Amino acid sequence: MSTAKSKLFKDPASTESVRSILRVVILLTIAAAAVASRLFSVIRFESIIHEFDPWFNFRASKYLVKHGFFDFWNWFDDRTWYPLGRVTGGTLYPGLMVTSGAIWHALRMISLPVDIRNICVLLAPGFSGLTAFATYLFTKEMKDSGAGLLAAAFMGIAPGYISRSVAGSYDNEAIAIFLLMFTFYLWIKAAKLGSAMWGGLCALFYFYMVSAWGGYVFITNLIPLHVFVLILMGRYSGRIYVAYSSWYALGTLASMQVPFVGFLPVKTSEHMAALGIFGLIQLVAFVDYLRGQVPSKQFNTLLRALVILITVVAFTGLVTLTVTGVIAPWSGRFYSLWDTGYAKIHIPIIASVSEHQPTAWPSFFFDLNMLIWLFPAGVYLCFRQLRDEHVFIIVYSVMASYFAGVMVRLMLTLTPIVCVTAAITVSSIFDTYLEIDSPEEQDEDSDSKKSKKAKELSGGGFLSSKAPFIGIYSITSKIAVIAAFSVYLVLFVLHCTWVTSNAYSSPSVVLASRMPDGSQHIIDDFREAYYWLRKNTPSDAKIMSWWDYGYQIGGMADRTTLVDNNTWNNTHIATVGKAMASREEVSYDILRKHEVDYVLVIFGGLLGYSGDDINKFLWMVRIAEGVWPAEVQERKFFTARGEYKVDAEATDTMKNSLMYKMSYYKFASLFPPGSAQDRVRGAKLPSEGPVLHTLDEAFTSENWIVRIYKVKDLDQFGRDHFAVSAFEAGKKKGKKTGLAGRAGGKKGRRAVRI
Amino acid sequence: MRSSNSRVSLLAALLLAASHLGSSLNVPQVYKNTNLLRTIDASKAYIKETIAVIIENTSDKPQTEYYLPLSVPGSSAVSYVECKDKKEGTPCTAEAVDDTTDYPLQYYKITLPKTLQPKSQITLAVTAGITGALTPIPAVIGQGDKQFLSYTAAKFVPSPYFTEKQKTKFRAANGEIPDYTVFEHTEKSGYIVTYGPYDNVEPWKTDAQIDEFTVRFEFTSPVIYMEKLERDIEVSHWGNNLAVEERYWMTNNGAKLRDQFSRLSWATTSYYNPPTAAIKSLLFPLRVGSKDAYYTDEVGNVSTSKFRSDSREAILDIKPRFPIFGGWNYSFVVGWNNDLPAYLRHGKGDEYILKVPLLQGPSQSTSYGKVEVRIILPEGATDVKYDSPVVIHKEERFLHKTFMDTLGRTSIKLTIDNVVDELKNRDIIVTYNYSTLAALRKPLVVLASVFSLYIVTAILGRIDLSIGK
Repeated sequence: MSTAKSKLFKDPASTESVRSILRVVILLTIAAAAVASRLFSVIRFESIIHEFDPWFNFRASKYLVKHGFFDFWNWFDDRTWYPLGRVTGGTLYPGLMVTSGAIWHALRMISLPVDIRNICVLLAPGFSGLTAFATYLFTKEMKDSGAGLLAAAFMGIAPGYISRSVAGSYDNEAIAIFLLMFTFYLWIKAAKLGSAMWGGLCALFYFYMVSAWGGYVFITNLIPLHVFVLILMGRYSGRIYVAYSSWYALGTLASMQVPFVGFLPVKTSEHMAALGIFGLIQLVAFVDYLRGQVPSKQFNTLLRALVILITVVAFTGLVTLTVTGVIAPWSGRFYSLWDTGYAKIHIPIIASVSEHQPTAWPSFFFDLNMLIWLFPAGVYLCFRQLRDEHVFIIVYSVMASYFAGVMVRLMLTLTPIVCVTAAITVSSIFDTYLEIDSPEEQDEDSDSKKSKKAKELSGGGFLSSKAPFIGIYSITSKIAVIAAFSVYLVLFVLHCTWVTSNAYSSPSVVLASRMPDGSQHIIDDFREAYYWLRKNTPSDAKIMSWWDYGYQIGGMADRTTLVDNNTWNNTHIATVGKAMASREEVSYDILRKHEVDYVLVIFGGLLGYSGDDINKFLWMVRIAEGVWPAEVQERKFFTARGEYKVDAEATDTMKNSLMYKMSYYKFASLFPPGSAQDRVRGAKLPSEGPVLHTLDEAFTSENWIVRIYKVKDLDQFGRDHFAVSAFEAGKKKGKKTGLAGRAGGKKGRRAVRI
Repeated sequence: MRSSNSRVSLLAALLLAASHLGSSLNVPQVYKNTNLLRTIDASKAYIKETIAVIIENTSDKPQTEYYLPLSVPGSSAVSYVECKDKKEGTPCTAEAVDDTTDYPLQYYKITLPKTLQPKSQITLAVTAGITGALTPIPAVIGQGDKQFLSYTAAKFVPSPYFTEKQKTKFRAANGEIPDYTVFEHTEKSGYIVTYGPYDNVEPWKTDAQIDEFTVRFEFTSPVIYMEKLERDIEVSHWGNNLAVEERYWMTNNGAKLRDQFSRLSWATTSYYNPPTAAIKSLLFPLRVGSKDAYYTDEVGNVSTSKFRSDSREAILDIKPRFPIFGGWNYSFVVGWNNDLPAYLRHGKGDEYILKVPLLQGPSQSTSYGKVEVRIILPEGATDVKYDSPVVIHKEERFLHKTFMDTLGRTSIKLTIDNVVDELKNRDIIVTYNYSTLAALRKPLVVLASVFSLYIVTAILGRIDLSIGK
């Protein structure tokens, strides 16, 4: 290597403009890669909204652009939670919809009338590019821009984040992770500079975050924790005081403007830490001021007295307020963060969601690949320097690791910090091993020169660089390490692409299967059935289904639902669970009382679609049992040997439940006698299928995944439906076989007398 | 219906002859119909009525106007009337007379292709499409049952003139005709029921008793009815592209489903592919060279479509998400692109001539409630004139503002009510002026806005608002 060339690359001043252009180009490339890797589903399927919650967000966004912001704000939705309705405008985080609405209006202004659906679909990939940029800024504050670029690249393609931000996954997390990283960046900037402006900016983005995602509580607790740890470490300074006070005061006031949050920041336990630290930092500031005024001996006495007094007063105050109910106790979701078994016992509705389950170990590697083992090394490197901002990384790492272990979905909050720390590690390794010149022991002069350069290159922060230069002498070991890490990085990219393509790019509304000739076959049963509902039922028809499908029915079928994924009213959900889990007589009463016109169930038995309602059935039973323990009992759905069966050995309670009947109605007739099989549960079904008396099959999709039943009207002659079907079957009263027949017989006689 | 006998009809004819009042429209009695053949074609989802008539001028003055009423009771309505001289093939105009006093008759004033001298004859061929005249009987059927449609019309063609000889042929969809009214001279052979010939039929009288015949026949295909069709034809000079998008609101006007839909029996019988009254698929024969076809509906792309385009044909075969039974609804969007040069010609100066099909549509017989064709021309096109092959009921001109437009694209919206697919694949010719300056507007505007953005950023970047140093 020529000296001129090495000078060109090493002298920071002369190459600054080249470097900045390179940085911009690299960042743009990273953003492009981040966006591109999220487009698998659009290319394979179409521009479609995925899964469940995004359908609500999409519907709300459409409402927003159609009716305007103020109507959206006051939106009372009478098409969900029938007959209760939902004060939607006041019970959602509007950040996501307002963002896409603003983009929609901005594009219209420059006469680019893009369909709101396409904006919603592409919002998450677009914001992932911004997240990469925010991660770059954040990491740059920790180490240098080299580490920043690496972190941005990691963040751009880490599956842990892609899982929540592929095209079509139009959920709050789509913008929230960007806001999280950017708020943290602004906080670090504020804490570093002690600037009220940066603190104010941090509060502004905190407000945006609050308006966008319930996970803002993570910021609300992490920043105070950072400050608290700094105070404990004896690192209190005016900078911290200014940054925290400006952030807390402005941020809290701003967050209270979101209707869904309202007075929570001063009323609930989740927000008390921030308030407490705000109080503490005032005291610390006061004490700090006193220290300058009072001689040290008296000061110590004073300090001790003050600490004891304040602790006692604050603690009793908190306890009294909590007991008297001014401050709400911790919410159930929060408890389940500390005790993973809590939800299963007390709030089955939270435990029933698969993303609320504790994380399995392999999923850490699946979602983060090599980053997960670079993560501790990065945290260690932070310990070596331990500036104020490094403390933040350590605190963040500890908290996020714990939470990611408790709940699968919180892997999302762990991913950014893992990317940052892994980038710090890799960047340090590269700093050390990519130094082409080996130190020469003999030549003292050149050695000291190089050490200077090394210092400049590595940002001058490492303890090692303060000492006389210690470097790697052997070219071989340099090459070995660099080659190894290059391979790791390539493997990481391959892994990320593979995971994204295979695990996270399915819309789940549309299923894909392969034909024998290798071509793709689309299974589109959900949309088939939803579209049938949309086109061929009265527009005010009420559809009862399990809450999972509420948002999809609202979004695709545009019909009124009883319960949906909002799950704000446990009793209402339990009512639906009870209707599904009870005998027809009981269910029919519930259906009539709720004016239900159609009942929709998901059945995967024909195709082997495992996420169907029979597999979710036990959760319905459990949730219903939580409200009506006397009428619905989980035990009765298990056989004497404790098995959950759907075949001939299924319990009577199971066989007579509405869910079982609706799922298997006429299913056995599809097969030759005696060979009816449920492909999900691998069970052989009795050749005589269940009989329905109070419902009519209205529509079944092509692969039987969605089955819709119409609730029969009351009989014109005042008979009950069991009597009617017995009459139509031509059976004589009194001579009845089978369970349903017996029930029909009893009532049939009564009906005849009328 | 079969009880009617010759005595009654004779009596009616006598009464008519005696009163000789004429209809309230007061059609001058200047013709007689020498020979009249009416063909009613019910093989499609609507009625196509063809009247071939030899008329003779019985007055002593030359005549140019001939009146012909069509009977449209109840929900039925005339979609179009076309007429021509049958021997020479010269077209003549048929105009609806704005008079409803003779309900259910709708009179048409036909201007003869040439002036008819006294005692001379001319043969006219009048074709009319009538929608809403077919009623499913029974009105509800089971999922696998046969569908029957029924049609009722007057035994004699309601002509205001004396007819020497007339005959009516009813052509059903197939030979399965369980019921039809029998008069004298009624004959059924295959899928055709013939009434006549009848000699010396007196002119039509509103207040007289009218003999009607009813035919009920099997109809194995669905009765496809598009409540509304919005068709956009967008011309792009820069993209050298003609984009067509059609949005359909479809329903099946056949016999309704008696019970609910059973997937089990549908799946088991569809293996044998029996004829069904449900809409299972639609075939769109497109113009050769069509490409990039798509098929979507309100909830996204529908994967069950096939598109084949080669040098001989272009066919889009779509399958709705679910079979559409009688009374069921479905709405969908199809669209495709064409290369512009095949449809656009550069005329004198800035003039361009566009020749595109006004209507395309599925090959299955279809009737349309309302068709709105929007022809979107490039931004800055002026002096738009058009020549339509069918009667336009309403015309609107507006500016359609979309991608990167400053003014909006010159557009015309043509509304046609009650259309049958007999009228499809006819070309509309649109001429307009489009200058080079107008073509350059968009690139210039984009360039100017990017530059102004750059200048504004540059100026803003130079403003220093910091306090102190």
